Amino acid sequence: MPYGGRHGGAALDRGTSTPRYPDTAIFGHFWLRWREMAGGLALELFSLSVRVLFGLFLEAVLVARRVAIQLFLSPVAAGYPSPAQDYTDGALDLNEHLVSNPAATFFVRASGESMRDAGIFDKDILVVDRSVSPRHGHVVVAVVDGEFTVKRYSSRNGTMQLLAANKAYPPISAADECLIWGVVTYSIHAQSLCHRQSP
Amino acid sequence: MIALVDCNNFYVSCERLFDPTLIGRPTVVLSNNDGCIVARSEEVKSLGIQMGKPVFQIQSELRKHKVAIRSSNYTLYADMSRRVMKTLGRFSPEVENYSIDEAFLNLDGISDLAEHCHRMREEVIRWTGIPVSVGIAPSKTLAKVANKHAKHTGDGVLSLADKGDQAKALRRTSIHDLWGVGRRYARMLMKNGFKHALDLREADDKWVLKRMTIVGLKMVHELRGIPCIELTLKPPPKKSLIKSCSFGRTLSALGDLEEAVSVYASGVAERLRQQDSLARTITVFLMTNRFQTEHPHYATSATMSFLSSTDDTSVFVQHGLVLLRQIFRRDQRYLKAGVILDAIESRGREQLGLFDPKHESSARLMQAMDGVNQQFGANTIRVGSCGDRQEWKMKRRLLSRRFTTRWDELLHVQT
Repeated sequence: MPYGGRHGGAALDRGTSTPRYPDTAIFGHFWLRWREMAGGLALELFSLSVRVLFGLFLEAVLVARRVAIQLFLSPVAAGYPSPAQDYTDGALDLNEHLVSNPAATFFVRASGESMRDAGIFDKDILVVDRSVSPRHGHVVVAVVDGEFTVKRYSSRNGTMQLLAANKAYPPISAADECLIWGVVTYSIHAQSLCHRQSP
Repeated sequence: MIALVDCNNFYVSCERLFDPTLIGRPTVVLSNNDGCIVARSEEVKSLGIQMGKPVFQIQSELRKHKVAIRSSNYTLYADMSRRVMKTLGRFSPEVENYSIDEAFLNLDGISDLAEHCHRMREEVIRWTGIPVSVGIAPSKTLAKVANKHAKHTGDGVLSLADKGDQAKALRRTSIHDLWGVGRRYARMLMKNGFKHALDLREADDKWVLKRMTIVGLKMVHELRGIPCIELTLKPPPKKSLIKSCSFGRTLSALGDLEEAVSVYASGVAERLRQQDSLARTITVFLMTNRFQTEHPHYATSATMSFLSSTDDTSVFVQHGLVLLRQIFRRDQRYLKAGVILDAIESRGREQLGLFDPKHESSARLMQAMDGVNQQFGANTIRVGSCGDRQEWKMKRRLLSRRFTTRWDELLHVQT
């Protein structure tokens, strides 16, 4: 910003006798001599209009300078800039990590022990993505005889089975009325009970 | 080309997604206060049970057919609607959320429309669990017609891109079922010999203009396949907001009504702030039960204007209560109350008053209040006159949980 810089310097130079707007003085000097030679009413009028125009021009320059100064000074007034300001990131959001497709993702709460060996415990929150196609080995939320269940999906040798991850529970053969509701992509398990953990 | 995507029996479909025992079982969803039927499964439709029927009139029929009944869970439906609309956004850059369960899509420039729409339909069902039907046509009005017939095709998609198909579909569409034809116009058209939508398509422009105004003429042009009604991608802010609901029982105590009016005024003020507007006029109304016969039906209202527009809950509640006390009569038993805000202006364009006090602190208070209520549930912070018992609240005895919006109401699955 050239205006602000120059003007800022002049304003601070309080001790010197340099005129603040030297252009005005020089221009006025030449003008007076020329008028002595020519004279006449028409030129008098002409000079008036030129002066008005010049005044407006000067005003505009000054206004422009004033605005420029404000812009120049304000960041300094705000204090020393943080050295990190060009390197900031937003805080991490777990949604980005756990939910790749928000429109198709549902949270459900697991209860029971049949998936213990797959790392799913009672009261865990499961992230279920309905847009993922179930494949062999996926943990799925399924509907069997009108009831929700969580099991490992198995489709070996052309037969579909729902397997528990706990020896105490027998596999469910998919010949029964069975529907895959969604694929469990993550399970959220509380390690230490904290105050926000709801039942 | 325009597609209308409509969710099949939307409320019932939402309930079924989280309760599979309802699948295949006749199911209805009731209106606020568990009064009337507002959604029916296909099984219920084929039983001949009508939409809008008051439940008490068909109690025995519902029991006989073992119909499952649910209260309306609008929190759940709104979230499911959002998911459906978001999924649709993958298939068109321009989606108009026309209602909670319908959207218009601009499909210009898509080469294989039928294939595109089949894929869209399958993806919505798989991702959100909500079955939809798709009607494709050159205009919105025809897309509505196409959608209606799509429900009865096997695959849920019907294209009326072809003129011949349009005529065939319009011949099978009654005047009453046309989008934009209300009961009065339908009666007028029947009287003048129009029976099917096809008859109206062939009507004389001048006659239509005279009898049904420019709006009707636009509709007729749309039936001819000339698009006249554009997609509304960003809904304009509402010019008037209303919050009104029947009580769980009739009320005659002023205290109960004060609570209700406070709650409704707070609710409508929050909606006003959501659309970033200010209001200058408030109306409070009361009515008694229209269906009871012992006393004459009594409805009353009062309105007042402020010097300058505002969005401050406490101002609306305070003046709402003043109006309520003006119109309240001790000898009546009220069933319904409501608060209406009018003279709504966008913030920043409002008419300023000469003696307006500055409202900056109230704006920040409202912002904080809305923030807390959004995070911790509606009415967590409220004006004191809303009360804490709210015994007059509407009945929702058969309400399902808010599975998708509350941590403490998640779906439980047995592992």
